[in-house]
Amino acid sequence: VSPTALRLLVLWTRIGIQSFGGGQAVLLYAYAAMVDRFHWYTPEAWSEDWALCQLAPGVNLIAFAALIGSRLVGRIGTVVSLVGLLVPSIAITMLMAALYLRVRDIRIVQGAVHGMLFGAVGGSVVNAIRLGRPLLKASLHDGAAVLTIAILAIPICAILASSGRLPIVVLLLGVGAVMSATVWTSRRRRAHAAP
Amino acid sequence: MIDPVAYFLLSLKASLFSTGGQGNLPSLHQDLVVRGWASDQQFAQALAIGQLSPGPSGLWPIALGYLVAGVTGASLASIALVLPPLLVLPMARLHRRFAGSAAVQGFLRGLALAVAASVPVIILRVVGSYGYDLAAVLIAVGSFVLILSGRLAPVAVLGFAALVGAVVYR
Repeated sequence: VSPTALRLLVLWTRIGIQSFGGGQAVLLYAYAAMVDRFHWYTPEAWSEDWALCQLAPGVNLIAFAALIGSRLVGRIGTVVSLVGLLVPSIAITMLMAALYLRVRDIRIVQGAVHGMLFGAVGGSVVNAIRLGRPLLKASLHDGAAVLTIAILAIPICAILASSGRLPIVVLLLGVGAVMSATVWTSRRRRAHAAP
Repeated sequence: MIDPVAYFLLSLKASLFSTGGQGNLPSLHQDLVVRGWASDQQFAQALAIGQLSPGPSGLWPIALGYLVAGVTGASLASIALVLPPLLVLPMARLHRRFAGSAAVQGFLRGLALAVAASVPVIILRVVGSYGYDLAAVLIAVGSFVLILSGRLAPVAVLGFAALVGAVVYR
């Protein structure tokens, strides 16, 4: 079965509607279809493209759907993949927000939202650990100096983000710039030291 | 009154200079709360709705847009959410050239590290607007352990947290 714009549209729409449970569910469905069932992607190419999408700004899965569509069918593939994945889920998100505004005064709904939010706090800490650990591991690989700065960056970012004095974008780009200079210098020094 | 153009641009900026589904939260929170366009509680509610919606994680700004400015807000948020990830297409073309660069790798690593450190802080702030008590701490710690262990899908853990909340805070 070869990839066509229509097949991609149908496939992504199905994924977009079925995948309650967030990004993990979308990834599982998409992998099962594109890699296991249709062989449009090798597992290696899949992992490589997913890794690239982690570097793109914003929601990684939107980047992934756009990239998969572009690789398989070209520009129209990008459009149909995004439409299929996002139109149903955006519509459902808006409907849920509208529904919430109608039921938010009900006590039991308030309680459920209250409970779920504190559950989400736990989840966000897990996400932060999962995001941060490979970054620290990579920094360890670059040597003690890089690792030290990476570790120091964590409490500094947390404090500056909560103080609200610094524009967040400046903070994010600033830490990016500092790490960029640190990694660059460290690798250059190592390249000179070990000819 | 919310200025639609500014709302769109602030949303775009938050996504463009961050990564992941909640990476845009700190910037958006800072900009919208200062202007009085959204409250901590609205942020918290939008995050909760975003956890339940299908599709990719990270659609919560659409729920926020709806809560603060109806269909207009949700539509602006949607467009601002879709545009930044499209940069992956030119990135894929340049990939071979920048993949090995220490400066680029370092920059992206630093950005992601700053996101990982600041997002939980802001989530604690907006969810904290509901007030911390013993049950809240227990739910948060319990969910942390369950999700970290990987034995239960995160959405199932959140469903359980909602159930506990419905009983405790009724």
